[in-house]
Amino acid sequence: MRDRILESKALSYSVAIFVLSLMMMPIYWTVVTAFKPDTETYVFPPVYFPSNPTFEPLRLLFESYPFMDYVANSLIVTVSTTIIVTVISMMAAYGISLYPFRGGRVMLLTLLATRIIPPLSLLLPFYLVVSYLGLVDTLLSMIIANIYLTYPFAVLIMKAFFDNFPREVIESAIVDGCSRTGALFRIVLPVGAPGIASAGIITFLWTWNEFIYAFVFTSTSKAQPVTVGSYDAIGDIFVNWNQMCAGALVAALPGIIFVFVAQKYLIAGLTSGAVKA
Amino acid sequence: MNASTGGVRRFRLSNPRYGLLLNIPGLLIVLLWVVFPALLLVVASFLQYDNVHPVSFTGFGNYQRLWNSRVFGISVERILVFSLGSTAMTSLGGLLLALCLSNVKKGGGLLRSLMIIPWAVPAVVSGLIWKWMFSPDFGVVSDLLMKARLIAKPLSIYSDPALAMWGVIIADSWTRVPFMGIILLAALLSIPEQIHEAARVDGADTLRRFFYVTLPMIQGPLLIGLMITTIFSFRTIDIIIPLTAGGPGRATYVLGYYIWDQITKSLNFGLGAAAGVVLFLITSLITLGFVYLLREK
Amino acid sequence: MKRLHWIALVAMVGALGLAVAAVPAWAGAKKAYEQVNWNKPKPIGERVGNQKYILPEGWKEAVKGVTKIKVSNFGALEHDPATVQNAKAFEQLTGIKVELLAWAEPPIVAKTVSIFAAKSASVDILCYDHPTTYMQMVAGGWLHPIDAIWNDPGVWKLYAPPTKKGLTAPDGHIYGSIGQVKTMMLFYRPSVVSKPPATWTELQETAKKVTTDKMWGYVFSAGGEMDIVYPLRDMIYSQGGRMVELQKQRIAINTPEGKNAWKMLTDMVLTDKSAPSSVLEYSWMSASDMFAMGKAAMVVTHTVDANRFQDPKKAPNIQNDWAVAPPPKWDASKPDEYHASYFDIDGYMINKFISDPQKAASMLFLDYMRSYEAHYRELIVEGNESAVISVYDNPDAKKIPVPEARKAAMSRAVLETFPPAGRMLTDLIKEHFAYAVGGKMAPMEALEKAQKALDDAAVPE
Repeated sequence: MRDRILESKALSYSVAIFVLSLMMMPIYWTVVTAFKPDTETYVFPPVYFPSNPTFEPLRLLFESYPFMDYVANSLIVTVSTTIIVTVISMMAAYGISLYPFRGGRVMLLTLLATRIIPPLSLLLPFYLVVSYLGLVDTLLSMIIANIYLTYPFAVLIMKAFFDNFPREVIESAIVDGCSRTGALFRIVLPVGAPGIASAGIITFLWTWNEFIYAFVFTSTSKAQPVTVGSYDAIGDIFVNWNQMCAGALVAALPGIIFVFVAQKYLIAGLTSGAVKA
Repeated sequence: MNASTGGVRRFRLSNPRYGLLLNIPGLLIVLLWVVFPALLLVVASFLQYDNVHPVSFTGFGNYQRLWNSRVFGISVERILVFSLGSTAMTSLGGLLLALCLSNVKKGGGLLRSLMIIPWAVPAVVSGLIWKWMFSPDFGVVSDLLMKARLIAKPLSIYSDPALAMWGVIIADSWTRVPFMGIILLAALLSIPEQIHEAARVDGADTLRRFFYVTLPMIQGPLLIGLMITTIFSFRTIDIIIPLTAGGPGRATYVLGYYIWDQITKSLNFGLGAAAGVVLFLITSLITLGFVYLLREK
Repeated sequence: MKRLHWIALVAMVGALGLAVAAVPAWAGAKKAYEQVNWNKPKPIGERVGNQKYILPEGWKEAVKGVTKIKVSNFGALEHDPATVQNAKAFEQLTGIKVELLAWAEPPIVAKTVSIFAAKSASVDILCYDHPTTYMQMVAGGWLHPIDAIWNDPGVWKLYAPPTKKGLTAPDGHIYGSIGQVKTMMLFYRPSVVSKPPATWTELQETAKKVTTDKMWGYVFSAGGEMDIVYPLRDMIYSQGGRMVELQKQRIAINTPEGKNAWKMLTDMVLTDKSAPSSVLEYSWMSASDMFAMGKAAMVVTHTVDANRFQDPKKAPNIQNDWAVAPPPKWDASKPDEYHASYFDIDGYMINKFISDPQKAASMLFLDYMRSYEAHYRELIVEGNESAVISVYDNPDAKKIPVPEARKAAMSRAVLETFPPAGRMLTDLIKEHFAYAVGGKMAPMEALEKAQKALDDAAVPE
């Protein structure tokens, strides 16, 4: 009897829904606050169902802070990094997985090792290099930093996918006269698109969400991304909670969109990359 | 084996060389982006580089200062508490959700999406969101707890050091449950149904089955999830910076925050580098520990 | 191969030729900013102190070629209307565009340091929000000395006496100038506090009496970065004491004055219960917010907050029920000069990595921003204080609340500069105050531990 309850779908649904409701509370609360007027924000007990939703906080956000610049910066840095990292990691994984070479194992181990070094530790040396090169407050500095942060994991994800890729397909294509590189683009790419998409999406998200390096490297809206922009918003004199929530929403948007649109790829990427670690 | 067009013999790399060639850009990245900065870090840790005095070599001076530093000692203790707490809470939450989700079919996709959302949000934004949730004057957490009659007055994570630590642990594990959940869910789903059947036939009830069959079978992914969660909670301060800024007092002043302050506030780069090296050594130890545990799985 | 040799040769000759041509330009010529004669047509004090600002002689040649200067500003520009207006006025006077960059508070030091560490010329003038930042930048060796614009005994007389000491670096040079100034005043609710306390001891008594379960007697902030230093400092100054021993580069809070101040603040929270324990959470704005929302009877805060208290949208509960008094002296035994408070300067420093004409233009801007004209706008338009004391005698000053009290406060304001890494040091004070109020340590024990931590952490010489 007890077992039937424990294993029942009803219990699983109930517990899952309960826990997830708790977990979604912060998101709900942020979304709701982002559209509240001041009078409904600074009250206690809090107002859970606003009666006068308004776009005012969102509008003020873009007015008081150069949020459009932040978004543009984030987009440029993220897209550039994703393209660069995806291409290079794809080539590297293709090489390691299908054309093993001496020292390939060492390379893999090194990649794993680099994941162990905490980014916070390398923040200082990176900052010194970026300062020395005069790249402070430029988008390039963040692209550089994010390539470092995302490349190792991207390679591992891709390698996992390539390992599972049917080699016979490639080999028969080569026998038919295709070059190895050609095989990469004509055979692997279309078929292995999900794996590549996984790596690409995870790279995109990690770069968009990055804060620490962006914060130290940038000082003005010339180069600041949304993560730094939304943090700056609370530092300024008065904490406008509803505006802050609006900013948080903008910053969290790509993540949320990807979760709903590309969930499969996200999960595939995370699990394969992690398991292979 | 030779690709040929009209008999012209093309220059062709052997397969291994081709593989190597493809990896050269990646290799460059690792060398320039990781190896070089790592060396720079170590070198800087041996310098007196505090932006007040001229840069000079100081041997183990920075490390000595860390060893004697009261604040550094506090930060090490704090990170251990924080990491332990966050990992524990994450594991419980992740396991619970994974177990439930492995048992549902319809709507499972939607539930999974909801579970992943906290992971997809930038960590610093999560810190801001939770700061708003925990606001002593207008916050939801106080309100809900009061409505549930668990507390009488709004609580403030800014006046009580213990509450502050709980606050950051809750916020941090909120962002990590998705990852743990996904890993464990995949692991649970990969257990063939026959195994469960066989156990049932052998007379095991649900709980026994869970502890003696399920758990051992997901040991590998569970350990990996634990390792990653521990390491990440050890070294990320994205949540703490907006939420409590290391306070009140030094309640949430973790090791990462010490490094952050050296780099951005007191500008003592040599000391920050030394602390960075210490952080790396500790996370390496943790990783090695887990790798050892994993070696047979 | 051969072609490469030729190219290298031509390049070397070219470089040599350029160097030879440039030497005479370097050798004898005056730097752009040295071409300005700051004391002509009138001595600096008269030029700058005149109701209408007088440009110095030679400025036009000095700034030839400069079209724009970039100035970092502390916080969003909408909070600094006077700064914006002053920048426009400067533009009209000189034709040089001023681009103000709004930098938010927590990262402002880090950003300023990035510019300097990168030897970047991307920002001409960096603002500093506390003298601690100023001293840190001086120590880093990144600033362009501006003794020339202070080179007149008459100019120092325009400002409060401690200004000169506060701006002079340990090496005897001056690297900073005044942008905006604030000082603190005592705000109170007349409906609750019939006569404003003239001393801190009176304030403590009054706070105890008027505290109800809906309203605290007194609030202060101890949550933000440097916040707890403000009330401590005001109380110490009001006893005639100081916080910093500059020769030894040491912060001293366990002096008799410091002990009194610490005890009073902790007593108010722990024993009198006239101040809330959530002071540990409040930033300096939050304390004023509490007053604005009607939850506190008294608060000592910047004068500019009067604008907020006046606004029915921002402070609906206290309309027509708030008043201003000068900051208290310690007790009746102290002389009136001790009605003192901290002289909070937001100032400007010049990046030494910019070109010489840019430096000239920047020095001109700094010259303007500390003038009578500029501070007239600060006082009348924005409600900040005026660093130029004579502005308070202007008839228009009657339009602002309590001009006499503010003039008195400004003339007595004290400016102390903290040692480098001042923020890390004040963090230690903040940490131990939290231990005292949080009950982790007895208050006076926390003070001793704080002093010890300060001494341990002091930058070794």
